[in-house]
Amino acid sequence: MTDLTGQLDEAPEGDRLDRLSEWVNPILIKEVRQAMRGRYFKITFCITLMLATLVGLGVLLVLIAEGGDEVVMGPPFFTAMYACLTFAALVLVPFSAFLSMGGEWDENTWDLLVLSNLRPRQIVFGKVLSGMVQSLLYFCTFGPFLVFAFLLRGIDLTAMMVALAVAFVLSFLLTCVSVAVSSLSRGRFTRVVLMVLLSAILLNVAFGFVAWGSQLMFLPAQLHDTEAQLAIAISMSIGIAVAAFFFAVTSARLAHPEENRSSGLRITALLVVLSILAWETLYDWRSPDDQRILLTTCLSFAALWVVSVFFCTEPERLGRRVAVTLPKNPLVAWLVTPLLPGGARGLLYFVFGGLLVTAWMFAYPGLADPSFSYSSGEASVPFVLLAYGVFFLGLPSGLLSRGSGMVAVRVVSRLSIFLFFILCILIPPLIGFLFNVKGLEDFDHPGNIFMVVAGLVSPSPHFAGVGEYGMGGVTLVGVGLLLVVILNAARIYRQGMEMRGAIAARSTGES
Amino acid sequence: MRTALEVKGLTRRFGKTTAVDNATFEVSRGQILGFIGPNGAGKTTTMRICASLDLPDQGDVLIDGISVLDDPRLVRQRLGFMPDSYGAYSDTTIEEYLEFFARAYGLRGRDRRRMIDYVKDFTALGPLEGKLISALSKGMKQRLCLAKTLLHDPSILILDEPASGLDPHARVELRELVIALADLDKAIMISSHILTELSQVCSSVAVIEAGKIRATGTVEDILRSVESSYVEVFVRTLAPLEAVQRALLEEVGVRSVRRHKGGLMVELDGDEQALAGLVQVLVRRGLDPIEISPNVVDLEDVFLSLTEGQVQ
Ligand SMILES: Nc1ncnc2c1ncn2[C@@H]1O[C@H](COP(=O)(O)OP(=O)(O)O)[C@@H](O)[C@H]1O
Ligand SMILES: [Mg+2]
Repeated sequence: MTDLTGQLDEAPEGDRLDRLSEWVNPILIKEVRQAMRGRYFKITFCITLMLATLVGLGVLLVLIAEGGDEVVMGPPFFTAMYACLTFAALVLVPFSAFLSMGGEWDENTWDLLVLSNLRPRQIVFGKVLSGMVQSLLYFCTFGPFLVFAFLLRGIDLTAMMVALAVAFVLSFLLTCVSVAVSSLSRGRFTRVVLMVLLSAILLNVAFGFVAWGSQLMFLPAQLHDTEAQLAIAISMSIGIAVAAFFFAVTSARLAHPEENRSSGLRITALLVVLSILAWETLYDWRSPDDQRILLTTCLSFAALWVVSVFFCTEPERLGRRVAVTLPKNPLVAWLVTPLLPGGARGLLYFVFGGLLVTAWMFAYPGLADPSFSYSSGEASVPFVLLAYGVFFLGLPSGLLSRGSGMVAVRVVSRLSIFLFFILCILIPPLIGFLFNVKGLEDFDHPGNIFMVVAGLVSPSPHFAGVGEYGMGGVTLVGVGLLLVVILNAARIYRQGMEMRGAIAARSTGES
Repeated sequence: MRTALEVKGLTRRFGKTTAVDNATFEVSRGQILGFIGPNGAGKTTTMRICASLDLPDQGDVLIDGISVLDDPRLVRQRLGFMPDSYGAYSDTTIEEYLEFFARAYGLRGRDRRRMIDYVKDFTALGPLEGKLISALSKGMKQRLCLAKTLLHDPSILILDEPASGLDPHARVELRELVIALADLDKAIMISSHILTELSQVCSSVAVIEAGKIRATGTVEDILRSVESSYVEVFVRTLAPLEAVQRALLEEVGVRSVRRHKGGLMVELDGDEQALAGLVQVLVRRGLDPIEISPNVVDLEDVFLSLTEGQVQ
């Protein structure tokens, strides 16, 4: 055996296809082979085809019986075929990806994959790609049916292409989601529950999507509108970004606990937010619209906040394996701090991302249209969101940061952030209602971020606006932030010191 | 002999149970270490940490001097681990299975072909070409899994209970494979809860119980450490057993005497000198000995005495 390794450097030979296959993800090859031989694919494939044939014949018969020549047969026939195809690509394929991921635990092969030094993202990528190959196979098989539908007349080619393209992207997104859901648990019982949930979600999405596709067939003129085109392009690219995020979630979940499970997610989440901002910029480039910009800002903050709930409750330590991967240059290492794992760095991530969004909100309309300006209430929205976001994240996670090394504490910590957020909205009116305190009976109070923002954007008599809380509101926020700083000072200090040590060790070149 | 695998003060806790408690031992090239302990002793946990699949709470494992904590990827290139629950994909043939893992290990083109042929040859899987894994017997699956473990030519092999569930014939074959691998100068760590499986092949043994290493050393070392303390002798006489029992208990150096299969089992302090003394006593007192057979202490007894009889 040892004598064989001496010859490893010889050039590989074989025909071109063989050589090409050397660079294909090995999981993909395995998955496709396994799927083609397995029962699941064979059975579902045959059933789908049979169903499509039967449904197609049925629709044709009904149409002929109803009106003969006058009826335009293209759209209804296409819709029927499209429904079958969508069912295969949006339900069957993602579900098979779910099963295939689960098979790695059930067949005890996961450890073997890890040992072979395949990275989690390679494994997940192979699974998703294999789903796409199956999806493509369905699309090709349905090709003749779709061509036939087109020949029946009444079908707009663009609309058909758009409907197919969107279905494919959605199939990709749902496959990523399914693999991510499958990676949530290795327990058999939980996986059954997840399976039921997932099938419900997939079926719902598929039905909704068929409805969208068919109305597109019957009213293809809506595609000539630039707004509609842009809207489709935007949702597709956001769909891909979200798929990438789920991809990162899965890779992170599957990575070794001591490895860096956070940076990939943090970067992808930031990319998703940036892609939202980029599309809004493109969409409104000629005439910036303050309402839409504010809506985008709020959405971006919400997305950042939700992922930060997970980041700011991470264990504190960098971990041995992360410390050795820090950039060698100390300045760069400090700059990427918000992207590194660790609870305090999670808070920093929110602040960092929030400031980026804020910068966009002020920079972009100014560049596009020099005469553009915000009202003072509007201009304060990002700062209010930032302050509230830090408050809701920092208080519970700071309180529980000591135990963040334990899974149970992390779960409690995450739940308590959401709970805290909801309670801040519910408690004041509840008190007002129970003790009959005047001015507290409604939801219009400083603890309710939604009302605060609404008041800032449109200070109408209907909303109390910032004026009513006045200095009281500002003081409240100030006190809240002070609390956050106090509760988090210790862990910020500790994580800072750990970073300093790790960076010093890296830049002096040891290990 | 170069140390290939070094376990240093390894501790792993799961909640309140301490699965591995400060374990320390090492394996050199060309050596076969038997890792023996009853079920639940912590063998699998130790081996998974060695294979970089799990993390210790304390301590470290060095593979060729590289810590599994610091550079797991480098370690995995040098190490072959065969889990007790060997994984096998359904709907896959032997060929495809090996080819997939060879690809995963980054073997390309002709090298991959050659390596697959080599491991198939080595584990005698050749005749089974084209068979689905689900159609294989347990022994065959085990051999396939070993073949897979050898694909990247690891210098250190960790095999977790490879012999469990195999029929005697398959066990003998496995033993021969393991010896052949050690001859290729690989360091091998092999675990079992059944001692006889390993005593013939192992050059050294580590006995683990309840997470603690009870004894380490060569097989002879361990045997000697137990032998030197006492000898057990089976004695049969023509004289009535009660009389013999009474007489022997009066002698110095006799620890205990108990009835055993129509004779007496005598436990003596000391070594063969004490045995000679016993023979003299029996003859001198006219007790007409017709059988005196010292009980050969083997690994099984050592194991029983070390693990307080929990062997299964
Ligand atoms: N993942 C785990 N979670 C909790 N306890 C575990 C886990 N793995 C092993 N244990 C416990 O650790 C001890 C040692 O187990 P193991 O290493 O599998 O023993 P062996 O392989 O010697 O039979 C057992 O008491 C077992 O219950
Ligand atoms: Mg075990």
